[in-house]
Amino acid sequence: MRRHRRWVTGGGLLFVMLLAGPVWLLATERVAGVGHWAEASRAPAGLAPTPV
Amino acid sequence: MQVYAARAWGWRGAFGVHTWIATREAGAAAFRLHQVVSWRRPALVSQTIASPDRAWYGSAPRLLADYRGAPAAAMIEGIEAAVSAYPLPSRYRPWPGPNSNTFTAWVIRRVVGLDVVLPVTAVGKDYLVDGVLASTPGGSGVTASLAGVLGVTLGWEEGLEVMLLGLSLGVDLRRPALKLPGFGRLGMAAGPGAGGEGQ
Repeated sequence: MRRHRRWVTGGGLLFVMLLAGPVWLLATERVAGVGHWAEASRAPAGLAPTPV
Repeated sequence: MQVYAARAWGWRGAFGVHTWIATREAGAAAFRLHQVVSWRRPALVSQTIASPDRAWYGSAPRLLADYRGAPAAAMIEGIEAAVSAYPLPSRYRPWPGPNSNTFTAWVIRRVVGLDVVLPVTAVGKDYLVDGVLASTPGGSGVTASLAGVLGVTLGWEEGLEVMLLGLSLGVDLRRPALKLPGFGRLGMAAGPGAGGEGQ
């Protein structure tokens, strides 16, 4: 019984660790997804080298 | 030669990033961009583009690798060959793969000298096309994976990553950091260099 409880607790903890980040990002709206995707920014970030 | 990652659009961005590969021959005015996208068939798209570093539909890209000069020139032919040989150009499945990260990891593994540690948020990077065992994209470790759902990665650059249900969590002891789904890397930043790891 105790072993069973340990497995359940471990599994639950693992599940929380897997989903905590994504849930937090969604809850705090830190991912782009508002509006229509075609209107989202496609601006260059200035990371690519310019042609010489 | 550069490798980029940016958060995916919408709720998928909470779980993972989209990655792509850009190359430019010496003296050329434009880049070749290679990526796998969900809305095209074939999903594998190679195009000539002026700006490979554009935001991915609202998400700013991060540079995962930046090779220049002779090392980059030596890789371009290999990258083109690996892209052409990608065995799943028409398949796209956001979870657990094959997706854009599966493609990027597959190409990186096949190009000699190209070592890139993909972020733990690159869902699908551990979906192995050719079996259950492969070298890591970082070049110094090994990944064992069952259908991209259950797996483990151990590498000098990657540290230890355990993948469950396609989501990876891990620890990097070399540059102490936790790697968590969604969050990415928490702790010391990945080291500088051509094969750096983003969050």
